[in-house]
Amino acid sequence: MHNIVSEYNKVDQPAPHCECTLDCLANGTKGEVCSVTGPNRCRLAELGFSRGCEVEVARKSAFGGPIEVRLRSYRVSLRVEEASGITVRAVED
Amino acid sequence: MTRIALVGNPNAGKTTLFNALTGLRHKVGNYPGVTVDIKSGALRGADNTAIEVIDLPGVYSLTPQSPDEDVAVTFLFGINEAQPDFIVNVVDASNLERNLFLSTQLVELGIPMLVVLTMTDAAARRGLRVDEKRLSTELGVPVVSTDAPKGAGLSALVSRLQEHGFGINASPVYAGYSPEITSTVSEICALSPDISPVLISTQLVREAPSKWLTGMDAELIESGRAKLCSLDIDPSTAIADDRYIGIGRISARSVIRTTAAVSSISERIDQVALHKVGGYFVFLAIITLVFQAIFSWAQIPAEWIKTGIDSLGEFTKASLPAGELRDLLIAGVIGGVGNTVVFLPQILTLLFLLGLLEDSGYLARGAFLLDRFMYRVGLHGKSFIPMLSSFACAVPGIMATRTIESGRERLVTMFVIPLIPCTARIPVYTMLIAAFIPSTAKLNIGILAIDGRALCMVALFVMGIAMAFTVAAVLSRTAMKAAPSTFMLELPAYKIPRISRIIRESIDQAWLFIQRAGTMILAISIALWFLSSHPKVQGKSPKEYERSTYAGRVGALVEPVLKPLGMDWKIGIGLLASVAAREVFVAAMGAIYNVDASEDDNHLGVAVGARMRAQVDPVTGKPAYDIGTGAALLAFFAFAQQCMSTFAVMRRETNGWKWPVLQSVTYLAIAWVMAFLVRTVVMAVNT
Repeated sequence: MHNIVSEYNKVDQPAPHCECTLDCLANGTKGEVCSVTGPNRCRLAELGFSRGCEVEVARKSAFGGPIEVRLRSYRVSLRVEEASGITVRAVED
Repeated sequence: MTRIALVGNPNAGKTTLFNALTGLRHKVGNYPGVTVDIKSGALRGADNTAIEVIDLPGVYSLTPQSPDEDVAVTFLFGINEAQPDFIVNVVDASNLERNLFLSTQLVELGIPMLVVLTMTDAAARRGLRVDEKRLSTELGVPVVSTDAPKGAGLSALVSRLQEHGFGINASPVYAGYSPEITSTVSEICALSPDISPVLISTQLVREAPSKWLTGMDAELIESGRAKLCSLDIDPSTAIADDRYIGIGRISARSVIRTTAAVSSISERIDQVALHKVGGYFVFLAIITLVFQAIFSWAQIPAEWIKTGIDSLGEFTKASLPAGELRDLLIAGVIGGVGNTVVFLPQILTLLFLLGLLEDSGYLARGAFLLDRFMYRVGLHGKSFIPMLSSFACAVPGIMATRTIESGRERLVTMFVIPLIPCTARIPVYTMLIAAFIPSTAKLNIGILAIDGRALCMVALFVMGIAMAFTVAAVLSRTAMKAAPSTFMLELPAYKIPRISRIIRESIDQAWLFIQRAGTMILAISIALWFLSSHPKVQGKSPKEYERSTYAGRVGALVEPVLKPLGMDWKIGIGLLASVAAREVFVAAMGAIYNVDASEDDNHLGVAVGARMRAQVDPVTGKPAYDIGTGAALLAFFAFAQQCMSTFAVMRRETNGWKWPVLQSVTYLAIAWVMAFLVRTVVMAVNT
């Protein structure tokens, strides 16, 4: 364990727990769900946005409109306000 | 009677399976949440009619978040009636994990259950194959595959259902909750033995328990939730997280990945249809085409119908002696009812095109594109669909709002729908425009000379739509202020629309419209004809006589309110009659003026308009109505809620008198004020 930590320090990479929100992910990039907050978190969790689930931003629309997300082999569109309540850890492809 | 409940996620193919199982003709939507009321039918099979299949609204979980889901969930928990005897859980194989979220909860209900896998072909295209045997072992209940539209495996399924080939998992393993959650659930279970663990776990996740839970149970759940929160566990997400860990395991064991997924046709279409810029052009083009079809192409068959009605009027006029009966027949029956029938091609065209767009899967894309705009005025992307249907009629529009999960956004949508210019306004607009706007009126912009009448019609439409959005924006910033709902829109795969089904459904709906309008117009024309010609009083001048009729007396009551709008008691009577339905106005005015079709033009709308223009004020001797009256009337019709059916459907959908009454009063006030403003402006410009 000690070795892994020092490895990260050495290569000067962002730490693995570095989090951003789903709406910040660029089109076509993937992330792993860390937590879901906001008034609609219950439904979002039921839809599959559970801790550790891999999500991919499939489409961002114009004027800050909905974001289409691919997860668990299906796609669902969320508003920016909802997506911003989902914290993710960026995942390299 | 054995009752089998069909349960599944929205769009999992539940309604299609229902139709296949019962052989009934029912609507299958390609838009999540089309099934709204509980539908039921006898299971196919001659020897066994004692099995009833019940098609429940689609749900994502046993935690209801919308009125639709509430219906399904209370049914499954047996809150208001007995629980179903068997459950058929329809599972979309191409979206297995999310569908299993519900399945694992259903298994915990302890009702004999059968899982039916649908959309296996779509799953195969994505490189996924579900091992039924393995899934059955994992869930502890039988699993079968079927492709209902193609009928494969259907007869085997029917005989299985007849033989009660269901199973119960005696010890469902999915409740693999963390120790804190497990102990909370069992504590509540011990204190209130009448609620099941699955009911507790599905209620713990809500901010507040569902209203149908009884006092003590609700309190227990609330305190359980508070306890978990104090342990720094958020039940709203933690319970689902734990369940998905189990689902991940089930899916890993029972899904076989075959060839890598390739981009589907739908995805390629969406690259254009949902393009950041291009998508909006596609949308505008489609909507323009819809309106072009309604207002231009549908006019051609409308003209044929008009000619037919006119010749019927002509025939009646020639074959009956002049008198009250002939007037009634021509003005009330033929004119009034005919005036509605003329709009049949428009209504049919709109219903057909909407059906086409819905069935192909495009409407959900429209909701996706428009959501940001709708959201700003407090509506939902999905509000666009009921609003679009409201151009045909507000009644199906209000019913279509049921697909909106958030109660608040749904209410705002329902509230503003009567402002959307519906087809019932068109006969009134047409008549009044023809009567009050001279055909020579032109608006000159540079070299363009725009027809004044056409411009007026467009202005009325824009006014109605603009007012709908204004009211929505005001409401959601004041009286109905709340946190926005989950947007959560699924874009279904595009598919070829089923033309014959759409035609059948359009005709059914249009026929309902005609029946409603026809009977109401007929009844009101006859009533008005009687009221405006009785009681028969001798020895009075015609003017005094008119005023002393029943209609005249009622009209005199409303006249003071209408005077500032340049209207008299006769229009007052017409407006009162049109509270029933807007399109009644033309026939009502016809009955009040005792219009029989004039020599040169038999069409009632034109004849009534001509008679309105010819009215003379008994005191001044000048024309009774000026262009300001016409403009005020048009504005009044654009905003007033004059439709009994809308009132009734609002009462039913909101389950009370509050909203329909509030809606009618608000729009009456807006209509009066706008009519007054429009009249003031028109009079100022015109002098």
